[in-house]
Amino acid sequence: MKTKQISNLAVLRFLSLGLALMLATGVRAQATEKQRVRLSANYTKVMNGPVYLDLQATARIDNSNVDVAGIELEVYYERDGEEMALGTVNTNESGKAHFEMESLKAIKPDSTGLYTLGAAFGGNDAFRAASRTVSFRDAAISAKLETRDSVSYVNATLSDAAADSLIADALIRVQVVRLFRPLRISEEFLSTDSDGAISVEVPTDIPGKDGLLQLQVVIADNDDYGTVIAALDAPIGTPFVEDTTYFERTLWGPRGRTPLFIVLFTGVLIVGSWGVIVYLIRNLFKIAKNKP
Amino acid sequence: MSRFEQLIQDLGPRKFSLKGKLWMALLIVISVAGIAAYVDQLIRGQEVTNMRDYVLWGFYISNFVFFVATSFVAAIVVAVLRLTNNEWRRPFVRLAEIVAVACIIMAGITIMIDMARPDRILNLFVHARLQSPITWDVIIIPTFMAVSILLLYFPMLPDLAILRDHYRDKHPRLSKIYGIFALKWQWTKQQLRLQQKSIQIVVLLIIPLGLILESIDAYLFSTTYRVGWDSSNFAPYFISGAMVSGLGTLVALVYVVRKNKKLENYITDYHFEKIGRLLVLALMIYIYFNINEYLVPLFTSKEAESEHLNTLLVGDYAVPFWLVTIGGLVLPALLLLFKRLRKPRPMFYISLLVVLGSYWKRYLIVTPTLLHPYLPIQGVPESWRHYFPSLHEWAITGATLAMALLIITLLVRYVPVISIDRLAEEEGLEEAKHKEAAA
Amino acid sequence: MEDKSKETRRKFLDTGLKVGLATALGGAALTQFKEGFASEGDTGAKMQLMTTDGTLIEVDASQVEENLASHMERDPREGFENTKFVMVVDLAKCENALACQRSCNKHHYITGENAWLKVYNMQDNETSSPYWMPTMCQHCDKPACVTVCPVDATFKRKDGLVLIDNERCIGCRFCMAACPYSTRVFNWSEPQQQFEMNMEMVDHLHSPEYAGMPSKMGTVDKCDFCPHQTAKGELPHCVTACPNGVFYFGNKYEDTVTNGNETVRLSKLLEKNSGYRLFEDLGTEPSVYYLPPKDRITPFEDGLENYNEFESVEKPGEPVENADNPEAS
Repeated sequence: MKTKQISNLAVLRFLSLGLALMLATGVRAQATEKQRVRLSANYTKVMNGPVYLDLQATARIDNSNVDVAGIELEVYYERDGEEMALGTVNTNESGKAHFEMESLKAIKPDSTGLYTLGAAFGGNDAFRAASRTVSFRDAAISAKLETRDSVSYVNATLSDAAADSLIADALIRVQVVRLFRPLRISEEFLSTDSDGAISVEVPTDIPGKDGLLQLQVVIADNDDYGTVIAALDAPIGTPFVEDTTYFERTLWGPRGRTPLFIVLFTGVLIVGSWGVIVYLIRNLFKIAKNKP
Repeated sequence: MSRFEQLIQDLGPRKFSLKGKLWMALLIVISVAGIAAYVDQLIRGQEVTNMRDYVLWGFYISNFVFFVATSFVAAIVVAVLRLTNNEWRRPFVRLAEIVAVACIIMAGITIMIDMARPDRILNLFVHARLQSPITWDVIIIPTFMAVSILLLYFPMLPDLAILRDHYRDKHPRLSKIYGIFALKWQWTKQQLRLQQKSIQIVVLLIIPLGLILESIDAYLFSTTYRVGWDSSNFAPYFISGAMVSGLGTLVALVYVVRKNKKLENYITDYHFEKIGRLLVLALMIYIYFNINEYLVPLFTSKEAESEHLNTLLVGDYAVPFWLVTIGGLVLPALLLLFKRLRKPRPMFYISLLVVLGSYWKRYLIVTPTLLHPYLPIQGVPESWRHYFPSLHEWAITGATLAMALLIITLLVRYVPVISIDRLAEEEGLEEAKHKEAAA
Repeated sequence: MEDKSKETRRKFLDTGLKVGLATALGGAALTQFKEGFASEGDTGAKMQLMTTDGTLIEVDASQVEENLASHMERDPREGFENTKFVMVVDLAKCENALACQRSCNKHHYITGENAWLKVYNMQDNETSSPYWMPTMCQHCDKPACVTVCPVDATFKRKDGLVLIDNERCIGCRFCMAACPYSTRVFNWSEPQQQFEMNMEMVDHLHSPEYAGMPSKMGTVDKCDFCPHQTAKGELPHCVTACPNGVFYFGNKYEDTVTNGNETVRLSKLLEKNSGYRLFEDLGTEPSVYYLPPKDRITPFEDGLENYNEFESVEKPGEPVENADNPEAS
């Protein structure tokens, strides 16, 4: 029998969708006063990759923060006081929305090299209109892996793309991508030196599948530059070995992987006793067939 | 009336007396009430029981263990006495077979009552995992059931034929029914040969199966990490306990049947004296295993185990524990040592003590252990820290006992409780057909 | 064929089900939905979903199908690739705030009287000091519960999780008897769960990967380590709910665990704090490690305020009437 598979994501999405709608209708029923939506926006740039805006919509209803799901947000960029539309996104069940662009080329900075992205909500029956902008300069990280005396280092340089200058004294970190959260391998508060550069030693004992590590050099939530990530694949980890008895015949295995001695013992018992039982029943038939 | 006629009249089917009818009515009423309670349990779920997440097994399981233990009587009385060719076994054999059949059938039913999703019973076969002791139970119970039915049936064939012939003119319909079950039995050489051979095989088969059945029953408990169950002593402990509950039940039943059917000439003091000795032996062995199970661990018990032992020996369960141990085990053993007390009537009362003790003994094996998990019982209602069966559990369990008695009563009503054929042959009556066939 | 699928669709609408969600249910439902769509010539990137109050909303069809696809690639009995889940519970940080328990109860719709995650008031002996010990399913590598299950209803996955198929469980409770951690919970009666969606729909969505969604009468429930959260890249509910970061969760192969704020090497954490596992001598090999309650962040006594010896699942004061889903109650 095939086990039914489900989409948990979908479940949650619709659960909160329903919740939000119930709340919304509840609010509508109680008072005509609309709720205020609070938007937050975070800008992230991936080197040699996309740039994106992570949006979050919440509202304060009955003294608790509620994610506002299913509202449409218009994303735009601002230049010289003018708003240019880029597209629209809908918030998911957690009130989150993700707007992605191939690169920054699609939008233009002002004369000082400052970009401004914004998201706006037009308002509906339950919520008032709201908007949020985020301004940032375009930064770039160039990262390289270098091995000296069988010790690996991540060397990286942080620069301002518009000003074409190196960025000194910026907090930066080097990390390894892990299942839930990345693991930082640089010291806790590492800043770029006067040349905008860092060099971080990569420990040799970090496990990765087939020894492959996904390293990242990151400036996070920088006041001027937002978040910038440079990814680096490095085959310098320790390959991990799967530790599972899943494929073995164990007492706790599924029925297809029963230890052989149990199969053997039970088999002998069943065949033995039922063989005799069948023989005995056959004797009954023989007795019944007997002609005097 | 010829002696042969006399035998048939004494041992053959007899209509229910008024007392018999009232007894049947009582059993049926209890059964119906239990079935109603069970239907309610099906609808509302097992919240109608007093079992909860800590005491997750209760009365149903101890009842099941009792049935399984009692069905072991077939293996000891029938097989062992037959193999050792003890002549005094005769009046007990058929009744022991009847008890075994009734108990193993009810054991199969009671274990399903404890299943919260009986609608998924087929999963036990479709998705069976051989690692689980429950699967072993699923295999051994039907096997033992089949063999104990055969053990009852093969030796009964000539008796059924005798009754068929006996009722041929007087009661054609009854004769026909006996005829169906008698399988055209005519005492021919070949039939006798097949029957003798089959009996020998089935007797040899039921001993290991009985031992395996009791052991698996013990494994249900001893394959867990639970303090008080996790014991390598458990299988022999269960086997010796099964001897006690099986023999106790048999003695009580034999006495009742003897009294109601007035079989004092067939089941004599001599027979009771003999089986009394066997019961003493069983009790002694069981006492020995109890010492191993409860006293020896006092020396090396770990923290959790001492706590468990304390509960039983001096704590919450001390009263029932000592009642069962002294009243149901030590006292009967001591009393039965006296020849004067190995007489039918005193033995009947002693055997009732033994059966009652055996029954509650199982309860004491199942419940107190569950109240001593490794982690403390916290975060659940106070009532979950105790257990006493609910009304539903009493009703349903009572019904299973009533049904077992119903099966026994009906079999005793329609089947000769002692083999007429055998007695006729032993007494050399001319109606005995063995010689005829042999000649 | 076409008629049939139309009829199916109409039935969904009539009963107020969220039609689009049907696509997320599995292959069969997906086919039905697609046929229903095509026959009406209404195909497009949007799906119309009907909410319980009858409002129609639109959602990206591709999104739903994407979710479906991402789920299909994993066998719920085998689990995540290259993953072995591990949890670390830092007893020094636990002050019995019970946020973990509330969050777990809420997200798994626990309505019984025995929570899956419990914070024990522990004291090993009279001389040693008391401490709070959160306990959930230990997801043992040699799980006693799985060993005794007669029907493969509870099973051990390659990624270390021990899960329950509530559609198969026969309710014998042998697993509960076998578990030395008393972590398993039984649905003695029909669970009084309330969902914002139709009960019938919830039933369709049932998976071992989301325990309690929904719970089934006569079957066993327990902590599932929230694989439904991992599937989204998110941490289990208890981990994110804890105000003190008591729970660390991660992939043992990656030697990394995180409590949401802090991401550390598992081996270093255990080494530095002398991590241990519960009842190591039983040989069950749990996936949960404990850090001893050394240098507590708050005095033990502070937790007593929240301690209720006889309750682990808060009952709502008044049973909430759910007018939209009469079937749910």
